[in-house]
Order: sequence, then C-alpha cells, then structure tokens
Amino acid sequence: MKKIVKVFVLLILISSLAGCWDATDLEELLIVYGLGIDISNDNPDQYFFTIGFPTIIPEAPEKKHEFSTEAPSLGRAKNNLQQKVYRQISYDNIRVIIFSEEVAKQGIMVHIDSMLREPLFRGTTRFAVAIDRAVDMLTMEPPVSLFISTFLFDSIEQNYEATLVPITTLRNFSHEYYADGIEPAMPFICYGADKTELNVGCVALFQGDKMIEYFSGDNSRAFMLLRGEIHGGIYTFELMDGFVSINLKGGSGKIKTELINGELHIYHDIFINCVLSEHTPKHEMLSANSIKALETQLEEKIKKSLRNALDILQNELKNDNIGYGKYVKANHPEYFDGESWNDQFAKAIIHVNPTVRIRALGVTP
Amino acid sequence: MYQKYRNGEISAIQLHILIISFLICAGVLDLSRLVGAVSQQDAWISVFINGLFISFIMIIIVYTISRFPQYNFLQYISYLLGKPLGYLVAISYCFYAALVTATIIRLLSEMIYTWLLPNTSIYILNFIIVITALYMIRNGLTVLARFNEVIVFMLIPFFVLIFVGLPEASLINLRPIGGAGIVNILKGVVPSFFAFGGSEIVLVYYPYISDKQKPIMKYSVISIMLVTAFYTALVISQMAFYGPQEIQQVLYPSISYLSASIFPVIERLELFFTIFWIFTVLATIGIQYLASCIVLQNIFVAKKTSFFAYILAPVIYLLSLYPQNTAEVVDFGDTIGKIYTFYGLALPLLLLIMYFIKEKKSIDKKNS
Amino acid sequence: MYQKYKNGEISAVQSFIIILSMSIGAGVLGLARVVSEVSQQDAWISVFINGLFISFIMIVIVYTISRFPQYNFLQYTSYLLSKPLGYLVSIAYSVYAVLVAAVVIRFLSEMVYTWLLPNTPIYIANFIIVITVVYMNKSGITALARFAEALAFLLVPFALLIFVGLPEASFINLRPIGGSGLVPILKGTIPSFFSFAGYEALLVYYPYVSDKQRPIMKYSVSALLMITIFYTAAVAAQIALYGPQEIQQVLYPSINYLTAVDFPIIERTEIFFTIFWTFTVLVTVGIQYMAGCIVLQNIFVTRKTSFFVYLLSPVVYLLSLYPQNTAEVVDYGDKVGKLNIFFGLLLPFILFIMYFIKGRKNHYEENS
Repeated sequence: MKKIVKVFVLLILISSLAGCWDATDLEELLIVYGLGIDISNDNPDQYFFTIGFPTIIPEAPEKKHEFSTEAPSLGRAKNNLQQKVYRQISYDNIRVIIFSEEVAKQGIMVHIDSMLREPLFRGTTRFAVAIDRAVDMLTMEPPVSLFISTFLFDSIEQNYEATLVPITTLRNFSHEYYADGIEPAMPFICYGADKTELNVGCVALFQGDKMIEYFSGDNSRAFMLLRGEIHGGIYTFELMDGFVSINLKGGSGKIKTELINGELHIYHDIFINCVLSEHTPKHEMLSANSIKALETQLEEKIKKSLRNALDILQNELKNDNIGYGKYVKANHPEYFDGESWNDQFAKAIIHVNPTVRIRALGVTP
Repeated sequence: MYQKYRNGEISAIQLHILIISFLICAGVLDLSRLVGAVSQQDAWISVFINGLFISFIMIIIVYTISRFPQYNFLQYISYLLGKPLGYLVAISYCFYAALVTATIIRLLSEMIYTWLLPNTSIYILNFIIVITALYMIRNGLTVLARFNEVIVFMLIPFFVLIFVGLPEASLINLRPIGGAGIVNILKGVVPSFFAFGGSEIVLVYYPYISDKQKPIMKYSVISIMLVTAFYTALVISQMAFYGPQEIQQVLYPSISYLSASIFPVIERLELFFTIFWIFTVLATIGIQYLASCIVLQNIFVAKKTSFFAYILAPVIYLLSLYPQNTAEVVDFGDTIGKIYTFYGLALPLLLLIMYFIKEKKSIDKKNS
Repeated sequence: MYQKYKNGEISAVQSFIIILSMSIGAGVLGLARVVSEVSQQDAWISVFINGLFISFIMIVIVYTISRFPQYNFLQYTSYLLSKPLGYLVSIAYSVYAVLVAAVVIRFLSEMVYTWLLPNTPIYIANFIIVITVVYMNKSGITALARFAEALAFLLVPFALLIFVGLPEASFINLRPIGGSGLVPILKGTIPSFFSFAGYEALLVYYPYVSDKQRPIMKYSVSALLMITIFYTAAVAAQIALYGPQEIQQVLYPSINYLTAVDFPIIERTEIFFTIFWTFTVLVTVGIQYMAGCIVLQNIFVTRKTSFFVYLLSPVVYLLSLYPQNTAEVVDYGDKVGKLNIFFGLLLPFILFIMYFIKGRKNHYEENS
C-alpha cells in the first residue's frame, strides 16, 4: 500500500516536469529595442507609434525592422502592433523611447502610465525627445551601428559623460514629475550636418509632462553644471584672443538657501575639477600664479554662462528644472509652496558661484 | 530538559530567529508607501517609534508569560482570564492565525503572479505554497525552528539589497526632518504597526522553549530592535530614493526600488530579490500556521500537531483563494490587521493586568 | 656583527644600492629642462661637474661618520654639535625626510595621473602608494635594503632607454660646447644639485652597515659616479634630441623623449619606461621615509621603527595631498629642495669641521 502511494506521489511530481510545455522561448519573442511616439500625420488627434526590433532569425533579409501603427494610446498601439507581427511582442527590454517634439509639447504622461504599470517594464529605459518625427529617427540607419536604439542609448551615455545631457530614465522622469520642487528634463536629439547625422547635445525642458523649451550648446552644459552632474568632456572658452579648453574631471554642487526679509536667496556653489587641455594665448603656464589667474578668468566665464541659463529658466520660462525647490522645501518648509513653486522660483535671488580647480597642465610647462 | 513537552522543543536562540524571520515578511513590500502616505518624509521616524513601542509590548509579553513556565497558551490564559474566556480567546486565536496565514499566502502568490509567473493561475500557486508550508510544519516545532535557522542567512543579502539604490538616492528627500509634524508622525505609527504584526506568536511559542534560564527577554527585545533597524533603514533608503510624493505612485516600493538602477552582473535585480523574499515569507507562513495548530492541540489536548496541520490545510487553501483581485487582497489584509490590534496590543496588556490582579489575590489568600 | 643594532642590518653592497636607487628618483623627469634653462646646450657639463662635486661631499660624509662606527645619527650629531643642537638637527631631519617623501609621492601620483590613470583621483593614487611604502618599511631596514637590491636590476633597462632616441638625435644641438660660458655652466649645477638630492640619507644609514671593514668610501663614491654618468648621458641625449630651445617647452623631457621615436615591438615606450620609473621612485620614497623613521627612533630610543612607520603614514598622506595642481607641486618641490642645501651640503661640512675641532680636543685629552 505504502509503495503504491509512493509511486503515485512520484508520478504526480514527474508531471510537474511538463509544466513548461507552453513556455515561450526567448528566441520566439519579439523584443522591442526602441519605441518612437509621434503625432499622426493624417489624424492630428491620434498618435503614431513605431517599434524597432532586431529580427533574430538568421535567414531574415534584414537584421532589424520597424513597424508603425496609428492609435489613440500606447495600450491600443500594443494591440494593433501585435496584429501585424507573427510573434509575441515583449516591451520589457526597451532601451530608448523617443518622443517627437509635438508629442512632448502635448504631454507625455498619457504614454507613461502603461509603462509604470507593467511590472517588468524597465525602470532604466531611457527617454529622449527628437526635434523631428521619431519614426524617421527609428528608421534611420546609422553607418556605425546596427541598431539605432543601441546607437542612441550609447550616444546618450557618452554625452552624459561629457556633461552635456542628463540621462533621463523612466524612473527619473516619474520622480521629477511627481516630486515637488523639480521639473523634468531629458536629452533632446537634433540632426547634425544632414539628416543622416544625429546630435545628442541638447536638453529638453519640461513643465510637468509638457516640453516647453530646449537648451543647446553652452546652455545645456550650464544646465548640467547647475544640476551638479559634472563628469567629463571638453569645455572651451574664448579668452584673451585665443582659446582655452579644459577637460572636466568631475565636480560637485552645494546649495544653500536663506530667507532675508521674505525674499528667497539661493546660494549655489559649484566646484569643477579639470585638467588644462588647450591654452593658445600663452604657452608657459607652469606657475601657481598664472594658474590662479586663469582659474579666476574661467570662473567668470562660467558664471556668465550659468547666469545666462538661469535667466532663461527664471525669467523666460519661470520653471525650475534644476531642483532648487527640493532644497527650499527642506530648509524652509513654511515658505515653500509646492503648487506655486515655479512662481516663487522666478522671484528668488540666485547667487551662483563656480569654483574651478585646474589639477594638471598636461606635459608642457 | 529536552523532550519534556509533548511537541518538540526549541532553544532560546531559535526563538530569537523565529521572531526575526517572522517579523520580516509581507510588510516589507509596501511599508514605506503606507507609512509615507501618513507621515510623508518622516515615515522612518514613525517606523522607528513603532519599533520601540513593539519592543515595549514584547517586554510585557515575556514578563507576563515567564511567570508560567510550565503552562501552555491555553492553560495560562484560562488561568488568568477564567476558563470560558480563555477557551474563547484560544479558539478565536486559531481562526485569526489561520486567516493571517491565508492572507500572507495570498500576498505571496499575488506577488509571484505579478512578477514571476504571470500565466500560472493563482490556485496552483496557492496549492504549492500550502503543501510546502504543510511539509514544513508537519513534524512540529523543532523542525520548523531548524528550517528558520537555515533560512535566516537569506536575510543577509536581503539586507544588502537596501543599499543598491543609494547612488541614485538623495538625502534632500528626507528633509525637513520632523516637518510632517508630531501628530502625523504618531499617526504613521498605525500603518507601520501592522508591518510588525506577529510579535504575539511569542505567547504561543514561549512555553516550548527548552532553556528558559537563558535571557529570553533580552533575546526577544534584541530581535525586535534588529528588525526595527532593518525596517527603518529600508524606509529611509526608499524615501531618499523616491521622495514622499513619488512613493505614493509605486505599489511595491521595495521591488520597484531595485528595478530602477542598473546593477552589474545581475540584470534583473528585482527577481533576485524575490528569491530571498519568497523564503522569508514562507518562513512567516509556516510559523503562523503552526501557531494555529499548536493552539488547537492545546484545546483538544492531542498528542501531535500534525493532525491539525493536515486538517487546516484545505481551510487555509480555500481562504487564500477567497479575494478576487489585488484590491480585495489589500482590503482583506486591512481587515485582518484590525483583529491584530486585539492580539498584538490588547491581549498582552490584558494578561499583564490580570496577572497583577491574580497575583495580589493569591498573596492575599496566603496572608489570610 | 649581525644583530648588533636594534633595528636590522644592511651590508656595504646594500648601502651602495641604496645610494644608487635613492638618487635616481623623481629628479630624472625634469632634469634636462631645468638645467638647460640656465646653461643651455652645456647642461650636461653642469650635471657632470655637479656629480663630481657631490662625490666630493660624499667623501667628506663617509670620512666623518666612519670615525663613529658605533654611533647612530643622533649620537654623533649630538657629540659633534652638542646635545641641544644635535637633537634639533635630528628632529629637523625627520621633518625634512617626511616632507621629501610626501613630495616624491605626489610627483609619482601626478605622473601616474597624467600618463596612466587620468580618471583616478589623486587621493586614491596617493593612498595606494602610501600603503605600499608602509608595507615596504614596516619590517625595518633589512627588508627595505633587500627590496632595493631586487629592484636595482630595473635600473638596467632604465639606463638602456637613454639610447632609444639616439637615431633621431643630432649632436649639432650640443655645440658649441662650452658656448654658454663658464658662469652659466656653474650656475647650472644648482638645479642639478636637487636631482641628486638623497645621498645624504647615508648619514642615517651608515651606522647600520654591518660590514664596515669593507671599502664603503669606494662604494659610495662609485655609486655617485655611476649616477653622474647616467644623468650626464641622459641630459646629453635629451638635449641632442630637442636642442636647448625646444626642451623648454617640454614638461617631462625624459618621458617625451621616448615618444619621439617609433620603437619596434614596444608600441608605447614611454609607458614601458613608466613601469621602471614607478618602481625606482617607490624605492626612493621608501628610503626617505625610512630615514625619517630611523631618526625618530634614535630620538625616542624605541626598540622598533615600525611604530613610527605607521604613525607617519597619515601625515605623509595628508602632506602629499596638500598641493592643488601641478604648478603647486613644482613650487612645493622647489621649497623642499632648498632644505636639501642644508642637509646635503652644509651639514656634512659642519660635521666635518666639528670633527676636526672635537677630534683635536680628544688628542689634547689623550696627550694630557
């Protein structure tokens, strides 16, 4: 009797081995790498979704392919797209999501809900705004990389390391969107010399979930310095009828706030470490005094550029993308007003004070 | 002293471990969201205060029951509260324990359903969990305690995972400290109280400790303090990471926390976390389940608990299938949490008071 | 005679190696530029004259201290200069040694930062160097001397690298020989003096030589002459490659010299060079650091130096972090170099003179 029970139990246990009979193999999934969201050309109240994915099958004529569909929301688009393909689509490994400028200006939160709700959707998926249509960008074939989405993913990383654009992931965006005292920002992709060249060097500024403006060139670097995201990259200045370049080597920011007679003063110290990489006006630099003098000049230049970016944020846009509000909230909870912080920010007096430290001069004196 | 009790023995250290692994369970997942909803950025202070409070209750519990080293749960409550009331409390405790077990099983399967096996039906998941729990406890307390002793090492990586998100976190999210106001901080103690639910199992397990001469009071309080430290660190790190506003938008902050940063080698950190979490929760389920069986055994004066373990299994299984969706599971959990207020808070205090009254009476008797 | 001194022993050959690897240190890098700033294409003559001069000082040093084979640094300076002055000099020497160690560490890390690890913060590079040096020194002089002995062989490829640039060099750059005039050539000996700095460590190490019957004088002088030849050849080769004008524009001629030529097999000769150079400088740092510790040990009459090795390490570490940029490091180095005039030039002569005065006194005492 006991033997029969044992055999029976064993049989039941063995049956569990067949539990994976209907599992979907990784090779049989259609793994989406990039997602682009546009406004539909024909139908202005509908969106146009594009997915880019690698065709894993070795015999496929192309290594990668894109599908597009018109739909009112991302959920609907997923349904439409599934009808077009022969495999189950997996959205859990998307690396880059590109919003076209119009979509970003209309607000992107409608698309993000479905991303936050999916349990396996990656929190580290990167966001970017494209100057033109996202579909053009996703169908582009960069000469140097197989997948445009990987290309963009790495390119954002590189520009982040060069202190030009922030890395905005799904998680960051949702944090900056929900938290009081900071407004979101993300990389803004423009075209370079022609439409086959991409330039990931600008920053799209958001108010809530709507894009309002973008920073480029010196402003976008100033923006990164203000955010305290100082990594590397070459920063060039026109000084004394020549050019001075510094190689950034990291740095930090320190924000203090003070209420004087009901006016909000924000003291922002920025420390920038760097190495001299170009100094055309004068060759000989090996003395503590000339380095000190150069540091002071650079500080003035940087301060000007920071002021410029801050002026746009404070006066033109009235939008705190830097995140001063979080400090004001922490230091003066009684003054801070989450609803109208942007107005308070516009009125605040910001004292920004960069400190440049040149660590090395290279191998000429 | 071994083999003195009918039903296996545990050592004082094992009790210590039982408390730790029992307290760290389902509550971990959304603690910081629930508490953060009330006391904002000061959630961690609420959790900490609550930890101190629970330690205090623990002192009361251990103080009271250590006066009755030879009595089991039923015996000493019958002695203190009178026989009819004692039986009533014991029986209702069984129900309560079974309900809690069912809820935790459901929370676990809910979580597995969401993250790991979205195509497996809940009833299969629950079935597997129930038979695992059954297997864990059918040989009694000694085996369960040993299982916990092994599992407790799983808590170490669990603890390390707290630090994963720190590079992304910023302490500015925790400030202004105390800005939520004392009233809100104290109100925040209420939701965190449920996360710590379970300290009352000492009432059931204490009689089975073999070496009562060891400083059990110290062990119990230390384990509660350890859990408090763990929970406080957890809430701090998550609050620093999300900030009090965003955390309200995340259903299970402890897991989403891990999916938000890129970690080398382990691609999907949240799944890695789940492995440890499942074991911890299984231990919790086993402990709660056995508590119910032990009380039943006390009531019916049976020789073994295994009989009750088998009998309760289908009941618990069906109970765990009762809620229809995640929202109902949460509701169900809240309802049970309210019952917990009686066992975790009122009962220990009641027993302490009764103990003093009875004590006085017996002294009076002796004197007269 | 082994084990006679409290703190380990070295052989005469080891003292030879110590002088050799001590003097070839951080100075190599910028030597040609610094000297040719003064004496143009005749820099190599300045270096050579300086070498001869230093050999002469070495003779003075060895002559003086060989009269006191049983005395350590503190004892013979106290004897010769009177006790208070002796203590003062000893303390000053240990401070000086620590400063030199810090400067050389910083030179090394500056160099590593520029060429090898541009993204590693200086404080980490310094930390690694300091703990290496502590490890090197913690077991006393014997271990250090053996380490120097092992590394002395690295100087051979180091010397060979001088010839790498020769195919590109043209000797017309060295002419007219003596064209810069006698005065600039003699002035040029001053900057070259600093790159030889370090030979005065023999003042400290001599008492620990176990086989003093060996011709230490001969060893020391030949060590210095070898270095002189090496430096002269290096400077001549570099000036022949660059010419006296261009060399002013190169911060570290010794390294850039190697980038000027494509070398078979080794693609990046300068990095190959850096490997040897790093070890040589490590030895320099170790010897200088040890000298400071030994003097401290003499002052406080302790049994072991290791205590001071540990004690000084945070001091050296912090001092090495003090300069903010390359220019400040160079300034700092120049200031410390000035101290070297006292310990390397004045002190030997004062000791020598005092020896004659005291020695004569002794003669009187013996005679009377």
